[in-house]
Amino acid sequence: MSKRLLRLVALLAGLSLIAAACGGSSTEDEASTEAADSTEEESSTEAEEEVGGAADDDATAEAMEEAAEGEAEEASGAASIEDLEAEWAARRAEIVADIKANGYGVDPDTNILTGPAGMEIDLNNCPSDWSDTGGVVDGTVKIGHTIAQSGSLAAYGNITFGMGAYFDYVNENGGIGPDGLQIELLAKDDEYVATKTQELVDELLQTEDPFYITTLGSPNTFSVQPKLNELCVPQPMVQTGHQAWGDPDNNPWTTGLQLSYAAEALLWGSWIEQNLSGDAPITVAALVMDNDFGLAYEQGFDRFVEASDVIEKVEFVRHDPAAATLTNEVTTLAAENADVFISMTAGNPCLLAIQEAARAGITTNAKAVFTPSVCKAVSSYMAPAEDAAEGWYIIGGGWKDNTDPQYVDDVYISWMNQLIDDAGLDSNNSLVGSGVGQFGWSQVEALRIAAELDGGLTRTNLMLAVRSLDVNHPALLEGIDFSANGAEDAYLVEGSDVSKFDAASQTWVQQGGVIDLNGQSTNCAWVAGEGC
Amino acid sequence: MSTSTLLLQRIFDGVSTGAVYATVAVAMVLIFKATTLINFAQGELAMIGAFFAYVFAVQALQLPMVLAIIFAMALSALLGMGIERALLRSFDPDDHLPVVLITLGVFYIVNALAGQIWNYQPRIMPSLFPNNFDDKWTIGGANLFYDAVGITLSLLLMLSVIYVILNKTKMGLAFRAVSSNSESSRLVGIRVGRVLSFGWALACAFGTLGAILVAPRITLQPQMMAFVLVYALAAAAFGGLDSVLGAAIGGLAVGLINSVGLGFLTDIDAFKDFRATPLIPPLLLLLGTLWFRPSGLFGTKRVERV
Repeated sequence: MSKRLLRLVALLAGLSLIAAACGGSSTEDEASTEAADSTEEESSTEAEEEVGGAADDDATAEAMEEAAEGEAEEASGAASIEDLEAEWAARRAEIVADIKANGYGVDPDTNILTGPAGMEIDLNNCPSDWSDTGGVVDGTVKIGHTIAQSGSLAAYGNITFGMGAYFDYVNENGGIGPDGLQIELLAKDDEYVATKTQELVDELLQTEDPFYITTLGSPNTFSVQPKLNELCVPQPMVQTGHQAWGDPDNNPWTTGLQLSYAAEALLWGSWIEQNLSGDAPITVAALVMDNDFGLAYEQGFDRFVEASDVIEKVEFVRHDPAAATLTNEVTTLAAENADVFISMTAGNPCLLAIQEAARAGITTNAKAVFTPSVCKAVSSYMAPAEDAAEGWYIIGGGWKDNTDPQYVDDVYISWMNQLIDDAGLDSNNSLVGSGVGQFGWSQVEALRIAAELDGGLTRTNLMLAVRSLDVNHPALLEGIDFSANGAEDAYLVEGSDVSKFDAASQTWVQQGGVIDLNGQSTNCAWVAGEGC
Repeated sequence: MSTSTLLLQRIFDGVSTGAVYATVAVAMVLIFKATTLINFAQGELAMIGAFFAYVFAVQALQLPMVLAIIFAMALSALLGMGIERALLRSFDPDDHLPVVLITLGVFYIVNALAGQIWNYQPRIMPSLFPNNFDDKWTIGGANLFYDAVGITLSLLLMLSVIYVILNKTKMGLAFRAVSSNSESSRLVGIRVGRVLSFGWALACAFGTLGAILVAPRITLQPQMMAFVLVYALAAAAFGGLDSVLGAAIGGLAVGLINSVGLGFLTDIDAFKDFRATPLIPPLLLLLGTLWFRPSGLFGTKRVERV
C-alpha cells in the first residue's frame, strides 16, 4: 500500500514538475503562445504586407546605404551640463508652447483628449472612479515600475537603480514642474515572469494607485497592457522594443521608447544584403529566446527573408529564457555552417551566446555575427566575453554606453557617470547608465512638459507630452532623433548605429554614419497570432 | 558537419555539462546520506562559495586561484556547519517538512543576499583550466575543450577524495554509521550532531568546488545555480539519492540525454519545439526513476519489516 502511495506521490510530483517546466520555460502569456505557434505559417502570408513598427524595405535599404557612405557625426558643442540643461529647458518650452497653440488637451465638452496628428483618447471609456491626477498625492508623483531584479534577466534590474538615482537628482534640484513635485519610484521585482508582473501591477494599483506604471520585458508588458489601457493608467516608455507598443489607436496609454525589434530585424537583413550579397545565397542561423521578445525578432526577420532573393534561413533554434547553458543549442546551430549568425536573445544569454558561438567556431567561420541591441551593454555582456566578443556586429539602436571609453569626454556621459558614483552606484555598469540616461531622462522630460501644460501634471497631459516629444536626447548618438508625432508616429527612436565590437579597447566602433528612419515606421496594431 | 561529427560533439557537450550537474548532485547526496532530506539550498550555497573564491582571487585579495578555491571551500564548509547548527539541529530530523522548508528559506535568503552584495551583473570567474575558445583538441572534427576535460577529471578527483574520507577516516566511519542508523549510532556513542555538521561541511565544500569549476562557463552571478539544481536533483534521483557514485553517473546521464537525446530528437521536425524545453528530459527521467525504481540505479533498496 505504501509503495503504491509513494508511486502516486512520485507521479504527481513528476507531472507537476513537468508542468512547471513547461510553464516556466517560457514567460509568455496565452496570446504569445498563439503567436509562437503561428509565427512560421503567418510569416509567409505577410511577405507583401507592411511589417509594422518599421519602415518599408526600400526605405530601410536606402537609409542603410546612406549610413554606410556617411561618417559618425561629432557630438554637439555643449561645454557643460548647465548648457545642456538650458537647451533641454528651451526645447521643453517650445513643445509646451506648440501644444498650447494648437489647443491640444482634454475637451471638457466631449471628454476626449486630442493631440498632434489625429491623436485622440476617449476618456468616457475610463472607469467611473478614474482620476486624471491619480498618483499625484501630497506633492509626490508615484511611479510604478516592474522589472527583473532576479532570474536570468536580473542584470536589467540595474536599470531601476539608475532611474532611481536620476529621480533623486531631479528631486533634490527642484522636482517636477512649478510645484516641485517629488518623484517616488515604486520598483517591484517580477523575475521576468509575466504572471508575477500581473500580480505586482495589481498590487500597485490597489495599494498605491501610481500615476503611471512602466514595465520591462515583452511578455511582461503584454501581460498587463490590456488592463492598464482599460483602466486608463499610462504605461509609458516601457523597457522593451516590441513593435506592439506603437499602437496609439488601440492601446493609447502604452508607448515604447527604443528602436523596435521589427525595425532592427529588417536592418539586419538589409545589412546582410548590402554587404554579403556577392556570396548569394547567404545562409542565416539564429538563436532565438522562446518568448514574445525573441519571436518579435524572428517574425521581423522572417518577413524580410520572404521578400529577399539572396537570404536563406537555414536554422533558427529557440532556447529557454532561463537556460543554464546554451551549449546544446549552439552546437545544433554550428552544424549548419551558416554564413551569418544572429543572436536574438537577452539578459545573461547575451553573454552565453557570444561565448558558446566562439567555442563552437561560429565566430570564426561565419562571415558576420550579430548580437541584438538589448545586448549592447559593454560592461554586462561584451566585456565579460573577452576575446570572444571581438568582431560582433550590432544594430545598436543609437544609444551611447556610459562604460564605453569613446564617450569618456562626452559632457553628458561624464556628468551621468559622476551622478551614478555620487549615488553610491557603479558607473562601470552599463545598465545603471541606461537607467539614468535612456529611461530616467526621457521620463523626466515628459513629466516636466506635462507639468507645464494647462491643468498641471495629469495622466492625459503626460500622454500628450510623450506623444509630442521631439528633443535632442543626450544619450543618443548625433543624428538620431527622439521624437513622436501623436497618432501617426508612435515610435520615439527609429534610427540606429551599425557598430562592430573591438574587444581590445572594449568599445563599439561605429561603421559609417547613423541610419535615419525617423517618422517612417508604420504603427502596429498587434494581434496575437497574426502580428501587426 | 557530418552526423558522426555532430554525434561526437554532442557526446563531448553532454559529458561537459553532465559533469557540472554531477558535482551538485554529489553534494546533494552527501546531505541526503547524512539526514535523508533534500537540501534545496545546495545550489545557492555552492554559488555563494563561488563568490567567496571570486572575492579571494579577484575582488579583494588577488590570491592565486588554487589558494582562493581552498579558502572558499573552507569558508563554505564553515557556513554549512553554521547552518546545520543554528537552523536545523533543533528540529526533529525525522520530521522532514520543517527542515525542507528551512532549506527552501535558505535558498531564497542566500540568493537575495548575493544579489544585494554582488548585484546581478554577470562576472568573469578565473578558470582553473585554459578556457579560451581555441583551447581545445579537435577529434574527428568535434571540439573537446581543455576545461571540459578538466571539470570531468576534477569530478573524478572529488569522488576519490570523498571515497577516502568516507571509507578511510574515523569521521567517515561515523558518517556512514549515522547515515545507516542515527539512533543506533547515538547509542554506541557517536556524536550525531557533530557528524551531521561534518556532512553539511563536506557537501558545501564540494558544492563550492563544483560551482567554481562551472562559473567560467555559465558566468558568475547569483542565479547561476538555480537552474542547475533541477538537473542535479534529477541526476541524484536517477543515480540513487544515497549513492555518491550514482549521483555522478546520474549527472553524466542527464547531460548526455539532453545533449545527444534531445539534440537529435529535435532535429526531427515534429519535435523541433522541444528545443526550448530542455527541462522535459531530466524531469521525465526523474519521474521514470521514482515510478519504476524509487531507490535509483545505485541507491540502497528500502527494506521494510512486515
